[in-house]
Amino acid sequence: MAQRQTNKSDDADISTVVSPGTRIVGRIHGGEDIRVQGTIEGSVMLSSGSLHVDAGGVVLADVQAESVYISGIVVGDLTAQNRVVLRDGARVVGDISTRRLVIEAGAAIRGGVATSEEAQDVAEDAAAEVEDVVEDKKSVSRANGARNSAKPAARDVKPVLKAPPQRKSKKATKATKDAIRAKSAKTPSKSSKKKVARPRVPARGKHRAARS
Amino acid sequence: MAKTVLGNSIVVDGEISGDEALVVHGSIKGNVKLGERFEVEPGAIVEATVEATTVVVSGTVSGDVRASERVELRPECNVVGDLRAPRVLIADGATFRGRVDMGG
Repeated sequence: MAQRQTNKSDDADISTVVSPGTRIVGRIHGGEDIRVQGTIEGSVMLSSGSLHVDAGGVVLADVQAESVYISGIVVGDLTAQNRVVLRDGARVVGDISTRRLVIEAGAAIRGGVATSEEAQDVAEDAAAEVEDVVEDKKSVSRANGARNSAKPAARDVKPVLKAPPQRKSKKATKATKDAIRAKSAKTPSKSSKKKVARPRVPARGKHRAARS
Repeated sequence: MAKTVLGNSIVVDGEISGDEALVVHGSIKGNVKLGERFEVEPGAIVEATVEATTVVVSGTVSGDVRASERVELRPECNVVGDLRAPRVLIADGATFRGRVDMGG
């Protein structure tokens, strides 16, 4: 460990480079800058330091870093505490979540973008608070038997929506019944009302009488 | 010559392949397969099966090492695993446990 620590201080200027002919498949994590000219598949997590994807570099991975600078291809979600910069020639497919996002001319991106996490968090907190308040109000109103607040709305709606259709539907059903009766009677509808209505009663009586 | 460098805070868990030289200061777990030179610097830790043309170890390697040209174990290195290469150099002070196969 001591050796490593001295190593770190001695070779602090060592920069990690994945050269064009190199391909890494798996998880990469660390705390320094990584420059990618080759291919990385899997995931990249840098607690500190930034990821540079140079032209020709391909990263098929979810990336978490302080900053991400892209001139190559990235397929995966990007999360950067500080910033994401898409330079000319950058091709990104995936969601980007960062505080600052720079998209230069010639860069292409397909995916969702969420900038300014702080603002987002604030907004989310606010939304959560609002929801809590609303829920509290609901619970209080329920406790007070104020469910009416929900029912009146339904009442208001029901008479307006239901009554006319009911009438209409009653009429309609009457009409259809009449029409059916008319059809069964094979007579004009207007006259059939009376004719059908009248014969039915005696008919039943007749049948009943006949049966009995 | 372009070469791949992994800094000392970098940990790779997976497979590294390519035809460029690789210099490791950090950690690798898994598999390394190169058509070039592979260097394990002092302080670096490699727990992997290594395949390359030339392998130079100054750090720690646990895993089999196979080189098409040669394997060099430098002083202060620590290697556990089998070596397989036509030429094997083990320097004074190197720690090594494993078998050596020089193809003879």
